[in-house]
Amino acid sequence: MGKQPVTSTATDQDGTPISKAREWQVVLMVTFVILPATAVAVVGGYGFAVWIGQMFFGPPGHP
Amino acid sequence: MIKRIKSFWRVLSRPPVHISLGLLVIAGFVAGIIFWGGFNTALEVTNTEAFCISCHEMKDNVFEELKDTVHYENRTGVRATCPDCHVPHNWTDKIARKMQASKEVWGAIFGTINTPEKFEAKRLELAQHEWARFSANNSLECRNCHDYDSMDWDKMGDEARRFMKPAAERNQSCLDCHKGIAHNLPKEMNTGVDPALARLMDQAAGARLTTGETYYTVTSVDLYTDPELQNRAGYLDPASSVNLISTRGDALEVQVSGWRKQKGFGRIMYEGFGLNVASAVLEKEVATDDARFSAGEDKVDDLTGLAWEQADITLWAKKGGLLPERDALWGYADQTYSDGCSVCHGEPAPAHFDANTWPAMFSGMVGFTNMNAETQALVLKYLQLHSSDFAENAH
Repeated sequence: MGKQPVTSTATDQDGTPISKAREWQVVLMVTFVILPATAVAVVGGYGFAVWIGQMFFGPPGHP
Repeated sequence: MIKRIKSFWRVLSRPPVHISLGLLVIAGFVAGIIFWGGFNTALEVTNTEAFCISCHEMKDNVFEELKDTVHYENRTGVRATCPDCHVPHNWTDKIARKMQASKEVWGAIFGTINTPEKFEAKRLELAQHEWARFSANNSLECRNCHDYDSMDWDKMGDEARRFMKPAAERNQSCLDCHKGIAHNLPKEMNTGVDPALARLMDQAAGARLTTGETYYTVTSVDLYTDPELQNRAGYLDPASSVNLISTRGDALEVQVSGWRKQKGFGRIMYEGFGLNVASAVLEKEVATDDARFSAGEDKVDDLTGLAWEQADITLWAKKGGLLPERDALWGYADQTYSDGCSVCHGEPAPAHFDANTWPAMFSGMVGFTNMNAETQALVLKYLQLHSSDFAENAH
């Protein structure tokens, strides 16, 4: 079984092949923007949820 | 836009064509390190005093007040910064507090407390938020440094130990007694006048006065030797009785009757023979001017060997500080007394001690309350005049 020549088979919807630059674009976008933003949003949302909880159940008690 | 997202998803949802798995893992790993470090750094930075006082609302008000306290400067050089006391250290509570700070960001943007006046107006409410937290978590932020178990009772002052030890036994919350330890107390509690007392003062300001009747002071009232109210003669303590002799414009001619000790200058007029219940404090020049007094009976107190004389003096006071009866004053004093004491311990009945024991008892304790000087004088007098010397069936 010989080594296949690299011929990109993955294509975009309209048939244009996915370029290397496009792939990097997506990777960097996800790792440095989308996931960090999501993490901050989740932690922040958790904080807000706890705050709202405190409105009903009062401030945190002692451990 | 939707097309862009679809294209983005298509690239994301299938195996990479050009980028090796190793590079992807490294990219994710590096991004993770940067994110985690950045997140923690952001938490740390927003948890510093420098960050807190970067807004003038904090710098000019609460931080200035902190500077005068032991939590800012002391002999050991250990100090508490803003977040030590005001940001919970537990992660979940800390994150919740960080989110609550969105309210502070709002306030900073819209200037909710951007002037000293606005800040003072909100001070009670803001303080109550903090007190509620300290009360619920048993002063956890204090206890990150202070610990009942590490207190050396022998090194503590006697007075401090008498309070601290029972508090330790009950594991009492620090802020129960130590409100205002790092910042000024809200004026409603401290320097300002209690609304209940203010109401009595308003009543006094509008009271109809009849010559020849007996009246009582609501708060301290300045005394003068002349109807023009120019030369100071001393002052009447709260809840002291006077006889109204005459009225001239805004000035009232009042007669103060009481007992003086025949020792020193006799500057203090007492309510009764042998009773250290002050009703008026006179200037030295007035107290030593015998011509001003109509002296009565002389009597020696066998208990102390001091000679007392019954004396009346007629002086002038400004209109507006007198009430025809003092039941309402006693009601206010009783409420203040039980409120102030019961924070830390059950208060003894006024008739538990005699009139001459109360001043020492009271002055040893009153520093733990937030009564102002005026209220202290009133409450002390209430206790003395309801002490075992006056109460029936007392022990």
